[in-house]
Amino acid sequence: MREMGPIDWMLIEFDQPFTGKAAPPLFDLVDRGVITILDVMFIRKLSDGSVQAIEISDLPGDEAIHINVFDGFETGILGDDDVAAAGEAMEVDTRAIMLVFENTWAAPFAIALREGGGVVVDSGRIPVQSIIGALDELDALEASLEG
Amino acid sequence: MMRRRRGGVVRTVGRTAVVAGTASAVAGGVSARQTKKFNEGQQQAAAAQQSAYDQGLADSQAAAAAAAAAAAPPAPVAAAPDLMAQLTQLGQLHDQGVLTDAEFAAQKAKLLG
Repeated sequence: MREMGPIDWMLIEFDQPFTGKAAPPLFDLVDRGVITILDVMFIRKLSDGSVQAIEISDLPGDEAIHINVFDGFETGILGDDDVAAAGEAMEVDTRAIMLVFENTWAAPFAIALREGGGVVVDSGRIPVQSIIGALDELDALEASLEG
Repeated sequence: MMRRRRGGVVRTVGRTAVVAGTASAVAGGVSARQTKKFNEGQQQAAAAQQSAYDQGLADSQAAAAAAAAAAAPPAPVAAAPDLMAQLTQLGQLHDQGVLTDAEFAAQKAKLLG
């Protein structure tokens, strides 16, 4: 049985038509086995604030062509509640792509951890501001020790 | 037509602050520290190797092992002159798999002998 890596989701908003520009680097990650796409959903928030999940085929022709590469990656894992949750965070007059993906790269690490008796107790994401703050604090500390 | 469920898998969706142009600053700060740490590790490794040699603690293989262990972060203290510290360090090297059971036993016997 294959070990799963941790699963993340991402909501990416666009205030302009989809160009598909980000698709090649994303699918490069897929091809290299770094991530595995578990679901993809396209959402539109209209100027009246209404939110709807849309099909690639609902989009204008050239836009649909640009993101046609996502065709077949939809699984239905993301549900209506996810559309609503995404819609609450989205600005009006935007469209978004919501991705659910597995961090496949982490699976071999997870197996090795388990074999070594390790358990991931928790993990999370650190805001970059916190890292900058920590580095600044270290610099200040060193300056005060040297001075 | 994609059929979607009524429920959801994402609990809440918030907006993440975009901090542009910070990647290089963070990467720079981090790598500067890591390089520094690495250099400190190298110095400690050299010190450990020297003191191990001075004390006739071990053959060159164990000295190299001590150096390697000292270089690994977080860097353990360089070999202290007292027996207990040497035994502790030997134990660490053994635990880390740097020394085999046989090598560990041989070095321990040498220390206690």
